[in-house]
Amino acid sequence: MIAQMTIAQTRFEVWGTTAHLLIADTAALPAAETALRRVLRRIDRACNRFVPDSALSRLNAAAGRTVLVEPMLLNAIGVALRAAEQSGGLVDPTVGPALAAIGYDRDLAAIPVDNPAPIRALPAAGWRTVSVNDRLGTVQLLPGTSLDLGATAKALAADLAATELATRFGCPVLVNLGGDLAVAGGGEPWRVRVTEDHRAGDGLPGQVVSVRSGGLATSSRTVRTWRRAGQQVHHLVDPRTGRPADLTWRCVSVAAADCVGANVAATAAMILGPHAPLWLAQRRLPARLVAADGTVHTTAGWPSQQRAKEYAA
Amino acid sequence: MTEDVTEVAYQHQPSARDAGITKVAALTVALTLAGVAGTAGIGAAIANAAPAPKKAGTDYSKNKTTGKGNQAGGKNTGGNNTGNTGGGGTAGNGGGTSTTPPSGSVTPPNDNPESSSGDEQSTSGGS
Repeated sequence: MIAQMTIAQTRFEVWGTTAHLLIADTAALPAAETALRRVLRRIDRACNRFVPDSALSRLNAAAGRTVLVEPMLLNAIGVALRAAEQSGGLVDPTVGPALAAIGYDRDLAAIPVDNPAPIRALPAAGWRTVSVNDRLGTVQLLPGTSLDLGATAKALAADLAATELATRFGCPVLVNLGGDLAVAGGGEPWRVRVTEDHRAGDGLPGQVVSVRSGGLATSSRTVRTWRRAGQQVHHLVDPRTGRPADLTWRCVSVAAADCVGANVAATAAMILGPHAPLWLAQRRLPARLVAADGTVHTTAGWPSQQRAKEYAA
Repeated sequence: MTEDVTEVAYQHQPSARDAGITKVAALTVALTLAGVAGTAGIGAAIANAAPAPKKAGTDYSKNKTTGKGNQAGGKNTGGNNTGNTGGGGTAGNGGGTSTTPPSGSVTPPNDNPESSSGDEQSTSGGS
């Protein structure tokens, strides 16, 4: 009964965004935060392409050769390839060179505010070009290609941490990594506000929903942005074209059985543009899509909202 | 020559001929019923298929039962066929109630999000 239990919580910065941990056991908070940080460090050492000595950076640097990789990276690559398969290639880890070509080649905070050089469009090599041998623990990338696990690694971290903490401390837990949110341990539903920017508080319109299990993620094109040749660029790249996804949706929030699934679907929806509502409905994924003009669309049982045009000027 | 041999065989075992006739009759009836059922099923599927909603501010899940008869189901949306992988085309069904998510797709939640009027405990937004 979360409503009658004391919820302990903590926030800290990670990966250029905010980690938010809530746990229904006040005494467990310090140990839970330590455990969460440990999971994040493991993911970071394995999957951060901006850290030169991370396992992913070493793999990318060795493209063309077969590389023995650590178990966490092997797991994360497996998750990313499943995401690519589940999304029909819309969420593809081989967008690394495409992201670099549009300017996302370093931490967001370090990207020049307005680079005069225009972006280059570099379609992804495609996830099927990645060779993985689970038994031997090896991965081989095509020469000239590289992986970016940004679309799945943060959500994977949320899933891993929520499951581990709920199991270890035997109580309901919510782990939110910059809007990629996983809950575990049962109990009463958690109240979560979905909005365009996870740091906006009440400054932006949104909707509060209750989430009982699984994952919830929001993908937005209005937060991680920069300018190239006078044009605003965002980080959601269409693997088919190598260009930032179309502007049909400002943001998409999706609920799924886990956070990785939710994030994959939200990202795929942003890339699909006008096809997204049908794609989500066919998969029975509850979603809330905010169109460029502020109109709110929902799919598959997402709770209704009274103010349908909340983003309208 | 073959007919003579068959006739001789039937003369010796008339029950075999009767059994054969019975089997043919049963098969004919079964095929006829299957054809009728199939035709009815296709008709029902077309009748129940929902149009792709285009109106702004729409709950797409509510179109399950409001389809009109001239909206064909089972078309490919083409939305997730990707150039770089060549895969992922999924058969749509116009939003009918018998929708089955494509195999290997993202798993829906066990519990859908519900409306809540209380203050939020956390926020999901872009990051």
